[in-house]
Amino acid sequence: MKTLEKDELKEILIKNWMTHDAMWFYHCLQECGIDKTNKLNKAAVRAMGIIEIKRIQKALGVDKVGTFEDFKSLNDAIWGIVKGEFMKFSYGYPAKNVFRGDFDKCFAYEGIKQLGAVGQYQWGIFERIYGWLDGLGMKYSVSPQVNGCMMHTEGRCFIEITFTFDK
Amino acid sequence: MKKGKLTAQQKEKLLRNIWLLHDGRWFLKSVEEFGFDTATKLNLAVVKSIARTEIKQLLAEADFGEVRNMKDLQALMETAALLYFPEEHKYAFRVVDSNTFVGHVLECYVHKMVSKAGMAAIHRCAAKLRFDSWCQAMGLDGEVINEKDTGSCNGTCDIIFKIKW
Repeated sequence: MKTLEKDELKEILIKNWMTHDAMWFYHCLQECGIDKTNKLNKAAVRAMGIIEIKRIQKALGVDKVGTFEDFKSLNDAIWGIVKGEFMKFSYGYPAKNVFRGDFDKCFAYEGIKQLGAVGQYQWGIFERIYGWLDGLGMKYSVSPQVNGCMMHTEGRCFIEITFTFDK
Repeated sequence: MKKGKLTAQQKEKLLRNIWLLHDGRWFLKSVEEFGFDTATKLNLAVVKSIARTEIKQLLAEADFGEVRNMKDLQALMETAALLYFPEEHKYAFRVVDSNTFVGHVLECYVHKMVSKAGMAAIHRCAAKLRFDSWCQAMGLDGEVINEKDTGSCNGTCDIIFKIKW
Protein backbone atom coordinates (compact mmCIF):
# COMPACT_ATOMS: atom_id res chain seq x y z
CA MET A 1 0.00 0.00 0.00
CA LYS A 2 1.33 3.40 -0.91
CA THR A 3 1.38 6.19 1.66
CA LEU A 4 -0.96 8.97 0.63
CA GLU A 5 0.43 12.48 0.32
CA LYS A 6 -1.39 15.35 2.04
CA ASP A 7 -2.76 16.68 -1.27
CA GLU A 8 -4.07 13.23 -2.15
CA LEU A 9 -5.81 12.93 1.22
CA LYS A 10 -7.43 16.32 0.72
CA GLU A 11 -8.58 15.33 -2.75
CA ILE A 12 -10.09 12.04 -1.50
CA LEU A 13 -11.98 13.86 1.25
CA ILE A 14 -13.37 16.51 -1.10
CA LYS A 15 -14.27 14.01 -3.82
CA ASN A 16 -16.09 11.74 -1.39
CA TRP A 17 -17.83 14.68 0.23
CA MET A 18 -19.13 15.88 -3.14
CA THR A 19 -20.13 12.32 -4.07
CA HIS A 20 -21.97 12.01 -0.76
CA ASP A 21 -23.81 15.24 -1.53
CA ALA A 22 -24.65 13.88 -4.99
CA MET A 23 -25.99 10.65 -3.43
CA TRP A 24 -28.33 12.67 -1.23
CA PHE A 25 -29.46 14.55 -4.33
CA TYR A 26 -29.96 11.33 -6.30
CA HIS A 27 -31.91 9.48 -3.61
CA CYS A 28 -34.07 12.54 -2.88
CA LEU A 29 -34.77 12.87 -6.57
CA GLN A 30 -35.89 9.24 -6.76
CA GLU A 31 -38.06 9.55 -3.67
CA CYS A 32 -39.51 13.04 -3.93
CA GLY A 33 -38.99 14.53 -7.41
CA ILE A 34 -36.91 17.45 -8.64
CA ASP A 35 -38.80 20.36 -7.04
CA LYS A 36 -38.45 19.15 -3.47
CA THR A 37 -34.92 17.94 -4.15
CA ASN A 38 -33.89 21.39 -5.40
CA LYS A 39 -35.44 22.97 -2.33
CA LEU A 40 -33.71 20.56 0.05
CA ASN A 41 -30.36 20.76 -1.71
CA LYS A 42 -30.29 24.54 -1.55
CA ALA A 43 -31.52 24.65 2.05
CA ALA A 44 -28.96 22.05 3.19
CA VAL A 45 -26.01 23.71 1.48
CA ARG A 46 -26.91 27.22 2.64
CA ALA A 47 -27.39 26.04 6.24
CA MET A 48 -24.07 24.22 5.99
CA GLY A 49 -22.32 27.29 4.53
CA ILE A 50 -23.39 29.50 7.43
CA ILE A 51 -21.80 27.13 9.96
CA GLU A 52 -18.88 26.23 7.69
CA ILE A 53 -17.64 29.80 7.55
CA LYS A 54 -17.71 30.08 11.34
CA ARG A 55 -15.54 26.98 11.62
CA ILE A 56 -13.12 28.23 8.99
CA GLN A 57 -12.92 31.64 10.67
CA LYS A 58 -12.23 29.97 13.99
CA ALA A 59 -9.53 27.73 12.52
CA LEU A 60 -7.87 30.67 10.77
CA GLY A 61 -8.20 32.98 13.76
CA VAL A 62 -10.19 35.47 11.70
CA ASP A 63 -12.71 37.36 13.75
CA LYS A 64 -13.96 40.20 11.57
CA VAL A 65 -14.09 41.03 7.87
CA GLY A 66 -14.10 44.83 7.84
CA THR A 67 -12.54 45.70 4.48
CA PHE A 68 -12.47 44.34 0.94
CA GLU A 69 -8.84 43.31 1.50
CA ASP A 70 -9.97 41.31 4.55
CA PHE A 71 -12.58 39.60 2.42
CA LYS A 72 -10.06 38.80 -0.32
CA SER A 73 -7.67 37.23 2.19
CA LEU A 74 -10.39 35.15 3.78
CA ASN A 75 -11.88 34.14 0.44
CA ASP A 76 -8.48 33.00 -0.85
CA ALA A 77 -7.96 30.99 2.34
CA ILE A 78 -11.41 29.37 2.06
CA TRP A 79 -10.83 28.18 -1.49
CA GLY A 80 -7.41 26.89 -0.46
CA ILE A 81 -9.21 24.62 1.98
CA VAL A 82 -12.36 23.52 0.15
CA LYS A 83 -11.47 23.49 -3.55
CA GLY A 84 -10.61 20.15 -5.13
CA GLU A 85 -8.47 19.76 -8.24
CA PHE A 86 -11.50 18.43 -10.10
CA MET A 87 -13.37 21.71 -9.57
CA LYS A 88 -12.55 23.57 -12.75
CA PHE A 89 -13.15 27.22 -12.09
CA SER A 90 -11.26 30.41 -11.60
CA TYR A 91 -12.04 33.54 -9.66
CA GLY A 92 -10.73 37.03 -9.25
CA TYR A 93 -11.47 40.56 -8.15
CA PRO A 94 -12.00 42.66 -11.32
CA ALA A 95 -12.73 45.85 -9.37
CA LYS A 96 -12.87 47.05 -5.80
CA ASN A 97 -15.74 45.37 -3.97
CA VAL A 98 -16.30 42.87 -6.77
CA PHE A 99 -15.74 39.12 -6.68
CA ARG A 100 -16.13 37.16 -9.92
CA GLY A 101 -16.14 33.41 -10.42
CA ASP A 102 -15.98 31.72 -13.84
CA PHE A 103 -16.66 28.05 -14.38
CA ASP A 104 -15.00 26.35 -17.34
CA LYS A 105 -16.55 23.02 -16.47
CA CYS A 106 -18.94 22.21 -13.68
CA PHE A 107 -18.87 18.89 -11.85
CA ALA A 108 -22.42 19.48 -10.54
CA TYR A 109 -23.75 20.13 -14.05
CA GLU A 110 -22.02 17.01 -15.38
CA GLY A 111 -23.42 14.92 -12.51
CA ILE A 112 -26.98 16.20 -12.77
CA LYS A 113 -26.91 15.78 -16.55
CA GLN A 114 -26.15 12.10 -15.99
CA LEU A 115 -29.21 11.87 -13.75
CA GLY A 116 -31.33 13.36 -16.54
CA ALA A 117 -32.55 16.21 -14.36
CA VAL A 118 -30.48 19.13 -15.61
CA GLY A 119 -33.45 20.92 -17.24
CA GLN A 120 -35.07 21.56 -13.87
CA TYR A 121 -31.91 21.70 -11.77
CA GLN A 122 -31.33 24.78 -9.67
CA TRP A 123 -27.70 25.33 -8.89
CA GLY A 124 -26.75 24.79 -5.28
CA ILE A 125 -23.10 25.81 -5.32
CA PHE A 126 -23.78 29.54 -5.15
CA GLU A 127 -25.98 28.89 -2.11
CA ARG A 128 -22.86 27.76 -0.30
CA ILE A 129 -21.16 31.07 -1.05
CA TYR A 130 -24.28 32.97 0.04
CA GLY A 131 -24.19 30.92 3.25
CA TRP A 132 -20.62 32.08 3.88
CA LEU A 133 -21.53 35.71 3.23
CA ASP A 134 -24.66 35.48 5.38
CA GLY A 135 -22.59 33.84 8.12
CA LEU A 136 -20.16 36.76 7.91
CA GLY A 137 -23.05 39.22 8.11
CA MET A 138 -22.04 40.88 4.84
CA LYS A 139 -24.19 42.98 2.54
CA TYR A 140 -23.92 42.02 -1.14
CA SER A 141 -25.71 41.88 -4.46
CA VAL A 142 -25.45 39.15 -7.07
CA SER A 143 -25.39 39.28 -10.84
CA PRO A 144 -26.73 37.65 -12.94
CA GLN A 145 -29.82 36.50 -11.08
CA VAL A 146 -30.20 32.94 -12.29
CA ASN A 147 -32.54 30.35 -10.90
CA GLY A 148 -31.72 27.35 -13.08
CA CYS A 149 -28.42 26.02 -14.37
CA MET A 150 -26.58 28.61 -16.47
CA MET A 151 -24.18 26.02 -17.86
CA HIS A 152 -27.18 24.18 -19.27
CA THR A 153 -28.96 27.22 -20.69
CA GLU A 154 -25.97 29.27 -21.88
CA GLY A 155 -23.05 26.86 -22.07
CA ARG A 156 -21.08 28.96 -19.60
CA CYS A 157 -21.43 29.95 -16.00
CA PHE A 158 -20.22 32.92 -14.00
CA ILE A 159 -21.17 34.97 -11.01
CA GLU A 160 -20.33 38.48 -9.84
CA ILE A 161 -20.87 39.48 -6.26
CA THR A 162 -20.65 43.15 -5.33
CA PHE A 163 -20.00 44.24 -1.76
CA THR A 164 -20.46 47.54 0.04
CA PHE A 165 -17.14 47.99 1.86
CA ASP A 166 -16.04 51.60 2.38
CA LYS A 167 -12.39 50.54 2.48
CA MET B 1 -8.23 40.69 10.25
CA LYS B 2 -5.81 38.29 11.87
CA LYS B 3 -4.51 36.02 9.13
CA GLY B 4 -3.89 32.41 9.91
CA LYS B 5 -2.31 29.64 7.92
CA LEU B 6 -3.53 26.12 8.39
CA THR B 7 -1.44 22.97 8.35
CA ALA B 8 -2.46 20.07 6.10
CA GLN B 9 -3.77 18.25 9.21
CA GLN B 10 -5.94 21.21 10.21
CA LYS B 11 -7.35 21.43 6.68
CA GLU B 12 -8.10 17.70 6.70
CA LYS B 13 -9.86 17.96 10.03
CA LEU B 14 -11.96 20.89 8.82
CA LEU B 15 -12.92 19.12 5.61
CA ARG B 16 -13.96 15.99 7.48
CA ASN B 17 -16.04 17.99 9.95
CA ILE B 18 -17.72 20.19 7.34
CA TRP B 19 -18.49 17.11 5.24
CA LEU B 20 -20.29 15.61 8.26
CA LEU B 21 -22.00 18.93 8.87
CA HIS B 22 -23.30 18.96 5.29
CA ASP B 23 -24.57 15.39 5.63
CA GLY B 24 -26.29 16.40 8.87
CA ARG B 25 -27.98 19.39 7.20
CA TRP B 26 -29.33 17.15 4.41
CA PHE B 27 -30.76 14.82 7.05
CA LEU B 28 -32.29 17.59 9.17
CA LYS B 29 -33.80 19.38 6.16
CA SER B 30 -35.22 16.03 5.00
CA VAL B 31 -36.80 15.50 8.42
CA GLU B 32 -38.34 18.98 8.24
CA GLU B 33 -39.65 18.43 4.72
CA PHE B 34 -40.73 14.77 4.73
CA GLY B 35 -40.76 13.57 8.31
CA PHE B 36 -38.49 11.19 10.14
CA ASP B 37 -39.37 7.94 8.35
CA THR B 38 -38.63 9.20 4.86
CA ALA B 39 -35.51 11.04 6.03
CA THR B 40 -34.27 7.83 7.63
CA LYS B 41 -35.00 5.83 4.50
CA LEU B 42 -33.06 8.38 2.45
CA ASN B 43 -30.17 8.45 4.91
CA LEU B 44 -29.79 4.66 4.88
CA ALA B 45 -29.88 4.56 1.08
CA VAL B 46 -27.28 7.34 0.89
CA VAL B 47 -24.97 5.65 3.41
CA LYS B 48 -25.09 2.40 1.48
CA SER B 49 -24.12 4.18 -1.76
CA ILE B 50 -21.40 6.46 -0.41
CA ALA B 51 -19.81 3.69 1.66
CA ARG B 52 -19.09 1.68 -1.46
CA THR B 53 -17.59 4.72 -3.15
CA GLU B 54 -15.46 5.86 -0.20
CA ILE B 55 -13.74 2.51 0.23
CA LYS B 56 -13.23 1.97 -3.50
CA GLN B 57 -11.75 5.43 -3.74
CA LEU B 58 -9.31 4.68 -0.93
CA LEU B 59 -8.35 1.28 -2.36
CA ALA B 60 -7.59 2.91 -5.71
CA GLU B 61 -5.75 5.98 -4.43
CA ALA B 62 -3.64 3.98 -1.98
CA ASP B 63 -2.94 1.37 -4.65
CA PHE B 64 -3.95 -1.16 -2.02
CA GLY B 65 -4.58 -4.17 -4.22
CA GLU B 66 -6.66 -7.10 -3.05
CA VAL B 67 -7.71 -7.61 0.58
CA ARG B 68 -6.62 -11.22 1.00
CA ASN B 69 -6.34 -11.87 4.71
CA MET B 70 -6.96 -10.45 8.17
CA LYS B 71 -3.69 -8.50 8.14
CA ASP B 72 -4.77 -6.70 4.95
CA LEU B 73 -8.22 -6.01 6.38
CA GLN B 74 -6.77 -4.60 9.58
CA ALA B 75 -4.39 -2.34 7.65
CA LEU B 76 -7.17 -1.05 5.42
CA MET B 77 -9.57 -0.50 8.31
CA GLU B 78 -6.95 1.47 10.22
CA THR B 79 -6.22 3.67 7.20
CA ALA B 80 -9.91 4.16 6.37
CA ALA B 81 -10.81 5.00 9.95
CA LEU B 82 -8.10 7.65 10.20
CA LEU B 83 -9.23 9.17 6.94
CA TYR B 84 -13.00 9.03 7.33
CA PHE B 85 -13.81 9.09 11.06
CA PRO B 86 -13.65 12.42 12.88
CA GLU B 87 -11.35 12.85 15.88
CA GLU B 88 -14.34 12.77 18.24
CA HIS B 89 -15.03 9.16 17.25
CA LYS B 90 -13.21 6.93 19.73
CA TYR B 91 -12.68 3.32 18.79
CA ALA B 92 -10.33 0.35 19.07
CA PHE B 93 -9.82 -2.45 16.58
CA ARG B 94 -9.09 -6.05 17.52
CA VAL B 95 -8.31 -9.14 15.48
CA VAL B 96 -10.01 -12.00 17.31
CA ASP B 97 -8.98 -14.80 14.96
CA SER B 98 -8.21 -15.25 11.28
CA ASN B 99 -11.89 -14.81 10.41
CA THR B 100 -13.07 -12.31 12.99
CA PHE B 101 -12.33 -8.61 13.26
CA VAL B 102 -14.00 -6.36 15.83
CA GLY B 103 -14.39 -2.61 15.92
CA HIS B 104 -15.11 -1.54 19.48
CA VAL B 105 -16.83 1.84 19.35
CA LEU B 106 -16.05 3.62 22.60
CA GLU B 107 -17.60 7.02 21.81
CA CYS B 108 -19.68 7.27 18.66
CA TYR B 109 -19.73 10.61 16.82
CA VAL B 110 -23.05 9.83 15.15
CA HIS B 111 -24.67 9.07 18.51
CA LYS B 112 -23.26 12.30 19.89
CA MET B 113 -24.67 14.41 17.02
CA VAL B 114 -28.03 12.64 16.96
CA SER B 115 -28.37 12.98 20.75
CA LYS B 116 -27.65 16.70 20.47
CA ALA B 117 -30.50 16.95 17.97
CA GLY B 118 -32.76 15.06 20.40
CA MET B 119 -33.30 12.16 18.01
CA ALA B 120 -31.33 9.30 19.58
CA ALA B 121 -34.42 7.32 20.59
CA ILE B 122 -35.76 7.09 17.03
CA HIS B 123 -32.62 7.32 14.90
CA ARG B 124 -31.56 4.25 12.93
CA CYS B 125 -27.86 3.45 13.05
CA ALA B 126 -26.31 3.03 9.60
CA ALA B 127 -23.01 1.50 10.74
CA LYS B 128 -23.85 -2.08 9.72
CA LEU B 129 -24.99 -0.91 6.29
CA ARG B 130 -21.84 1.19 5.88
CA PHE B 131 -19.51 -1.67 6.76
CA ASP B 132 -21.50 -4.21 4.73
CA SER B 133 -20.91 -1.91 1.77
CA TRP B 134 -17.22 -1.62 2.63
CA CYS B 135 -16.91 -5.42 2.64
CA GLN B 136 -18.73 -5.72 -0.68
CA ALA B 137 -16.51 -3.04 -2.20
CA MET B 138 -13.46 -4.95 -0.94
CA GLY B 139 -14.84 -8.10 -2.57
CA LEU B 140 -15.09 -9.93 0.76
CA ASP B 141 -17.43 -12.78 1.55
CA GLY B 142 -18.80 -12.48 5.05
CA GLU B 143 -21.14 -10.63 7.32
CA VAL B 144 -21.11 -7.64 9.62
CA ILE B 145 -22.92 -7.92 12.93
CA ASN B 146 -24.01 -4.99 15.06
CA GLU B 147 -26.63 -5.90 17.62
CA LYS B 148 -27.34 -2.37 18.84
CA ASP B 149 -29.21 0.56 17.34
CA THR B 150 -28.89 4.26 18.16
CA GLY B 151 -31.66 4.11 20.74
CA SER B 152 -30.04 1.29 22.68
CA CYS B 153 -26.28 1.80 22.27
CA ASN B 154 -25.53 4.79 24.51
CA GLY B 155 -22.72 5.67 22.11
CA THR B 156 -20.84 2.37 22.36
CA CYS B 157 -21.07 -0.87 20.45
CA ASP B 158 -19.12 -3.76 18.96
CA ILE B 159 -19.13 -4.12 15.20
CA ILE B 160 -18.11 -7.66 14.32
CA PHE B 161 -16.78 -8.62 10.91
CA LYS B 162 -16.99 -12.38 10.16
CA ILE B 163 -15.03 -12.99 6.99
CA LYS B 164 -14.59 -16.19 4.95
CA TRP B 165 -11.24 -16.13 3.13
